Amino acid sequence: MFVNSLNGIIYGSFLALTSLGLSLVFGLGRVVNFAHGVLYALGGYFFIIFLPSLGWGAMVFAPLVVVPLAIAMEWLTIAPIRNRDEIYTLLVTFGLSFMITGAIEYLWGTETTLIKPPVIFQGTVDILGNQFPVYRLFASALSLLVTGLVFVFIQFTAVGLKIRAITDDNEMAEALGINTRWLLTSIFGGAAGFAAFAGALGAPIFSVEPEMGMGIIIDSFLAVILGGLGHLPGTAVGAFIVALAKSIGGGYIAEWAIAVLFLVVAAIMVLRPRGVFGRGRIA
Amino acid sequence: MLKVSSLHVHYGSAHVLHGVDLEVGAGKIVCLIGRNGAGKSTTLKSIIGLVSATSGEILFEEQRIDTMAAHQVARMGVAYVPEDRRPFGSLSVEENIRVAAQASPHSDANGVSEALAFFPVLEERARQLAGSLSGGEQQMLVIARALVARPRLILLDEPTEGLAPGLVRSIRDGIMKTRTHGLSILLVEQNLSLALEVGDYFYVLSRGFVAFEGTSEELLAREDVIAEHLGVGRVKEALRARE
Ligand SMILES: Nc1ncnc2c1ncn2[C@@H]1O[C@H](COP(=O)(O)OP(=O)(O)OP(=O)(O)O)[C@@H](O)[C@H]1O
Ligand SMILES: [Mg+2]
Repeated sequence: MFVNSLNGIIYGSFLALTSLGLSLVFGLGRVVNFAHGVLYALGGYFFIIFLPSLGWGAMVFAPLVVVPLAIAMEWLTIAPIRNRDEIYTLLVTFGLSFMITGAIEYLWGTETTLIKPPVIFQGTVDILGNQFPVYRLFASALSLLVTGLVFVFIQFTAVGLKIRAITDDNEMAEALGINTRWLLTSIFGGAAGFAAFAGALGAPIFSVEPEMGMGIIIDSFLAVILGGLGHLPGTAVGAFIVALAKSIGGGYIAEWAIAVLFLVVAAIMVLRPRGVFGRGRIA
Repeated sequence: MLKVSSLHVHYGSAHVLHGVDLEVGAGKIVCLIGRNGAGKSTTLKSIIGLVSATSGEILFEEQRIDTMAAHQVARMGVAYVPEDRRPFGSLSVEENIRVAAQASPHSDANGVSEALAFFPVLEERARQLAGSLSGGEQQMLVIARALVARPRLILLDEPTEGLAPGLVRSIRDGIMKTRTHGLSILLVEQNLSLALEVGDYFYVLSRGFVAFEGTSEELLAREDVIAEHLGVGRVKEALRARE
């Protein structure tokens, strides 16, 4: 139980980072980006590709490669259909994520790669009589730190204020002189960078394989819905609820993890249709 | 400073504006009046750039703005206050104004505090979420949010709609006060007596056409125009205003 909860918190801190980007992109441009998961996967792959030559600097370098790819993707496929219904971007990004997963399998094969954490983080610590890998704790703390920085950025900077205004009323923000098109593309790139970073940071824990993006995108969507669409603090809380429900539920009966997860999500949605804080959008 | 010529606008296949011509001079308050659905809001939206014109030309200070994105038009010095007010509900009053100031190339360091002081109630409510304000307070907020950009032209869409008489007076005083700043206003107003009080020049819009233009005296002399394009009930209101 204790180990499962701790693993849930660790997974939750990764999920918080990926779902935050998903929530931001939705809040800003009503873009439902199903391809967010494959950006996470690309982060993991570029990380293991750069690792031999760059060492652990690859963790920074992998997101830097994913960001321009994501921006190109946004320009070519999402921007042209932005003014249509959300369902169009969902379908396009759904298709894209299968294409990119296919490309990953074609280029780098279907096997699973698990790499060792850096030497200084190898080994375990004793937590209440359980041996726990040091790297897990370090990675989880780092992704929580990055998540926290994103919040601080949005709450306390001028760009963050613009982002919050656009999330409230995109058209009105534009009419006040904010270049919403440009900001949306930048945020899309930024969100992709954080997803890719999570993919790289998680490589020594969750391993790297072509389907890794699919699992995380489903969990991220659940977190975003739980938090109330476009509501960022809600999204972060949603991420931990999803991760804990999955790991604790899975701890008792492994094949029931998904069932427990959906049960928890459904129950919360019935009680709080506008998300855990009751402040998000319904649709 | 603003010149709209033969402006046509479609929403899908619906032809809403049929060649609107209008002009706003520097420092003038020009009123756009007409029945529901005449196309008044659409005219303002196409000037700011939220709706794109099918044909025609919009010049602001001799520059074409009809081909620009809304944020570019705003940055040239045009502010827009929509009919449904649209404050940023999850931002505080002060943040609403600050974000507009930061988006404008013309605002300065004192801008935010000056705009808050324009309607004193906003200063009291500075930390409150805009979504929790009353309708009248929200209206004052969105006018202050437009002013903080230090625009040279404000497009004001039905600022007194649904407000109690006391609040209507505050908004009217606010409009009169902007006069002293040398600002131009294109005002859409259903309250005819208020329009006649503040307006320098009038355009009556009917089904996407300009049915009449002139000064308040010229408009008041035309009971037929008022009855046909504004409503028979409005004639009395106009006659009272003439006294
Ligand atoms: N987004 C839209 N899509 C389709 N038709 C629209 C849209 N907005 C307005 N219309 C139609 O265009 C016409 C003009 O609308 P507009 O809002 O400009 O009128 P208005 O003069 O401002 O009316 P009101 O006094 O009710 O505010 C109306 O027939 C309206 O139904
Ligand atoms: Mg209107």
